[in-house]
Amino acid sequence: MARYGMVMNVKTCLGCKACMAACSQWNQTPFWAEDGGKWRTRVTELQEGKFPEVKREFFPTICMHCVNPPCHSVCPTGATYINKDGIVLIDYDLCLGCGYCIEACPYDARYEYEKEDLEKDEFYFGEDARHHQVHVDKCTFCVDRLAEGEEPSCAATCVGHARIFGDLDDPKSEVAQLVNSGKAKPLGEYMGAQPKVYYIK
Amino acid sequence: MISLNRRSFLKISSLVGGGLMFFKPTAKAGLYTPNVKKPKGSIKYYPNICSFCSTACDIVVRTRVNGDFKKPQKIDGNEKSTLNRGKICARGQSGIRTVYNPDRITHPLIRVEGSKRGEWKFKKATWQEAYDYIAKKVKEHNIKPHEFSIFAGQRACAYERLGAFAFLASIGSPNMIGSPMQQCVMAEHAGTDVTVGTMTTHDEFLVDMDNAKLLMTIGSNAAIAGISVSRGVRFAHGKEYNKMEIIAVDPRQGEVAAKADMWVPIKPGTDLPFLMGIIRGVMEKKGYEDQFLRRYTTAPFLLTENADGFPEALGQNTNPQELPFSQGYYVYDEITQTIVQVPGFTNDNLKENKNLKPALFAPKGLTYQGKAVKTAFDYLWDAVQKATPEWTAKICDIPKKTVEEIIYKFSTIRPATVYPGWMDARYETTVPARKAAAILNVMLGAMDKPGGWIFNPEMREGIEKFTEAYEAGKLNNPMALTMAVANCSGLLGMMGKLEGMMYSGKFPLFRGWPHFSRAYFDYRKQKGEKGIPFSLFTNAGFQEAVEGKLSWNGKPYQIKMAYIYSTNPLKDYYGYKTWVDAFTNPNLKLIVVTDILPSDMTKFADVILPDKTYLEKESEIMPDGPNPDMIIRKRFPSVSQIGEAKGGGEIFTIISKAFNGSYQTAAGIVSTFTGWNFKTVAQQLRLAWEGKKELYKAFGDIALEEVGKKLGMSAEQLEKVLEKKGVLKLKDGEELMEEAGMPYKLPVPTFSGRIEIYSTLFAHFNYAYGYDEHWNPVLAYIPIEYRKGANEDFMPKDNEFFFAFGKTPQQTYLTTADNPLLMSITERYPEENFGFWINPSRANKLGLKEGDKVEVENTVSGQKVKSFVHLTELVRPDTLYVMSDFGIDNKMLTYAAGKGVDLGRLIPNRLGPVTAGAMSCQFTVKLRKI
Ligand code: SF4
Ligand code: SF4
Ligand code: SF4
Repeated sequence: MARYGMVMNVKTCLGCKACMAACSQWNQTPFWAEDGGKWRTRVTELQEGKFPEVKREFFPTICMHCVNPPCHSVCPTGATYINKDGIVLIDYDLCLGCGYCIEACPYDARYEYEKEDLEKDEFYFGEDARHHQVHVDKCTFCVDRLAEGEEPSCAATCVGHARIFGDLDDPKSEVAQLVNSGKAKPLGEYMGAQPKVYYIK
Repeated sequence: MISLNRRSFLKISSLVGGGLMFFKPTAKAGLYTPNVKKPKGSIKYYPNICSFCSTACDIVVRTRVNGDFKKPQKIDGNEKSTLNRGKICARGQSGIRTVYNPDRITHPLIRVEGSKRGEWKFKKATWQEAYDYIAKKVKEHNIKPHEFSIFAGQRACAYERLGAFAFLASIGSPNMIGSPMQQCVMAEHAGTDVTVGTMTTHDEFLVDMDNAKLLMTIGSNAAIAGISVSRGVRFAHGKEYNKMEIIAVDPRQGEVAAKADMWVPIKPGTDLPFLMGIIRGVMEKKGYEDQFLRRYTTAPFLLTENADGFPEALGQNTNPQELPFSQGYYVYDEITQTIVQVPGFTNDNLKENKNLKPALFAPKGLTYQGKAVKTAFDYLWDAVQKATPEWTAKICDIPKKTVEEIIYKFSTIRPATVYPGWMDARYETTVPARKAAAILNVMLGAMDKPGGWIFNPEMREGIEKFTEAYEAGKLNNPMALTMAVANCSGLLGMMGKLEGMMYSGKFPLFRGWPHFSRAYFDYRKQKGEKGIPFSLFTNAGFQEAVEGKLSWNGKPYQIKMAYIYSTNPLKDYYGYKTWVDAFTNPNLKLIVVTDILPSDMTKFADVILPDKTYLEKESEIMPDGPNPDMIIRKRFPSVSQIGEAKGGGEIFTIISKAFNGSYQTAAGIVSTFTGWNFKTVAQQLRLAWEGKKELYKAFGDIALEEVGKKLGMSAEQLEKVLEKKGVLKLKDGEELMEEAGMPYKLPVPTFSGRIEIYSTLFAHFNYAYGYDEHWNPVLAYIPIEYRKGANEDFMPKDNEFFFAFGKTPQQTYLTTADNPLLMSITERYPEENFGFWINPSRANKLGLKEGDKVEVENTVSGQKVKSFVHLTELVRPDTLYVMSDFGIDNKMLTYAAGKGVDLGRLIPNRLGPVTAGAMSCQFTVKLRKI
């Protein structure tokens, strides 16, 4: 048993989007969807101020794997569940595709893997396609990589070392230290979902 | 608190619903039965080397293997790699999408008889038919080796150089156009190279950003976060864990500037005066590393003004026919207060006399044999004299306070370093600006020590071998010297190849013909123009050679056949029309293009040959790029054969055969450059030329055996280790720095062996090509003209702008533009990637709103392109900025065609004075709403 979490260090995110590419290739997410794809992780550019006092920031987001996830409470079938390691997951067989969770998630982490996405998945990945049914999709902390003893795809490749993944219960881990020292804080704490993804800004 | 821009990220607004329209009800119909049938086979990991930019990261490919069938599933960085530290960028991640790109060329194509180049009318052919066609044309038009030129593009230049040299040697042609060599590397790095002895700064050193306390980037859009992973990881690490302070000089706030502590948006084209201002300030504050400059650099060399009025070192070899080695130079010794001679080639001015104290500034009125003399450092001081903080601030259009602050930081913080640059805007001043940046870095002593520029092991090995031979007096005859220089690393290696082989017209292999650029310089001379001295493997004169304007030794020198391998001259060499004219010229009897995807260039081919991707390719044993650690690595294919594709290496041997090329000559060159046993090489190349073994499989096998021998391993053992680990570390970078520090223990590969503030090579160019401020041996301020009537003080008004371009981290031009994954990431930000960036203050005045369509006209060349505007505060109000990665037009490219701006249609083909690199930003543009 672990309590997995991630720290996003916005200070060192280089805006390279390697994470988005990495996630999409491991998880076969619909990069092909119109208007710039559907993603489990995104890097959003923020800007403030006027030239030359303008500040540009790259802001990475994923599913926050909340302790108290609103998506979980609205799911009518119990498809959304929290596994033993605290990872919020979806049982595709139980998912009705009603989309309540998509609306409920305050962090915009979910999207629908649609019929045409399944076709495209097969077009791009052939026999190795992983998605065979319509379902709601979101970040899984790459639970299948964890099972193989590997880091999540996005964190493993993060060039800026802006994604620090680990076990929050292991006081020696970098994530735990950053969280316990108060250096990293969750987003939108007031919403009460208690995310396990923390930010250094 | 930062505000949100157009793409909402937390979708806070949607907390209460709305904005979810993409969830189409139709898609809910029914669930699919889960397909649990797992594809057959087992998972294996194959190491490889990423091929999407010159960083050449170490990667591992997770592959499903089923008998002979191999299918890659996922690419990750190699965790064992100390180069990219287990990370790769979006392009690296996307590689498999290039392998299985539906647009791939999968079989040879021959242009349909009666069609025109550029029309895209091709018919499928077999390899035999393609070969027969090529061989027939070569024969029919009696194409001689020197009438053939290769455009050796990205893959040939970065990963398959050995094959390209072997190929040219086999047919005996001197005509190599290296790309990105010219536009990418030569154009900007020459100033760095002549100072520190490198050749291409992509490959030869890493900036130790883990340990630097102060970093300034200038002209470096792509270098760090644009992105090069080996640099990006160090940059982020240094910033977060070593509190490295970052100054980013850039008219646009790119990714590095966004992470900087200080963004300095100078006026485009003012890098040189800016750097002169900083150098002046640091000199004035005595913030330079005094001891370092006295011992290891040419700063204390005594110079005099020669008859032509330019600075010349006492002892400088002034014979234009010789490589500029010298018997000795002179310095002023502060202890004995006399002028003393120091060795002609050494790392250390104190080598022969430990008691010397070479002066950085000569006493006033010093003379030598009746001539007034001053040190190179004096000359530098004179050159930067006028660059006071006020002057610099005015020319660069930044606050004086900023200039003073930067000077203060550089005079006080250590280790401090300047980024050598990668992918900058090019002006006629680019080379001196790069020289200035290198000089500043040298003044900070940031050479081959923690926090500075750290050389790679190849540089050390090359110069060590050369120095031994030189000091043992083994290089007394000119041919031995030329070959040893050509074989050396860095700048010496390059000049040996350039002046000794490619330009001499005497090199036996090329049957008396030099590279066509050499003949072109004679042509320029007749028109009263100077040659272009530092132009190894460039296209300077290609058009004229095709048009039949050149001659050599009284005989016409024409190019009749071009082989274009993985490059897109139409866009990347600028001047779209110039290239269309050249490639549609009937004098060009045959154009063969090899590529993975149908580039714009393939449209102009007579024959198209399908290349393999890096995941399908074999390789020789390669060093680990700029990594200071001594590491070897190799490619291991992880994909089954796709269509009829053959690797570029095999195609070299096929074309060579059409010229009756000799594998033995190829083996000679390969064995000279690698030191591999000639017999082994010849045996293997014979197999390659007979079509029995892929060329790079042959190189790989030779290398395994030769390198294995040195390591006391069998070829099989070594192959196993490399296949398992991907990278094999032979020696630690820190140890190498300690044992073979350059210039502390070993010379650097310049002609004096020192780090050169006074460049002995630039001086040499003055004798060989005539004096020019652009290759002033020390430094000269060159005021630029943006256009007629717009000089250094010019501030554009109304609809006129300066022009700047850069690149986005998720693309590398042609190499990646048609990748569906990368294009999708790109299209999330269409405004920023495909539009012209304009500051809202100027846009408002012109009545332009976000996305308005515009036509942009180059005021110098008259070229025009159309796109739209993207309003952003991230760019100077006087500057129009655009991404350079896009604008490809071949409709066969599903994902890339017709998107973004083609710089080839906005930037003319104008050769820069020192390196023949295009002056890609020296003009202004006018904007019109359409
Ligand atoms: S943890 Fe895995 S699933 Fe989640 S965003 Fe990262 S790569 Fe995607
Ligand atoms: S990979 Fe890391 S540095 Fe790059 S954009 Fe993603 S979070 Fe930022
Ligand atoms: S920086 Fe990116 S594209 Fe370049 S070699 Fe590395 S992974 Fe490949």
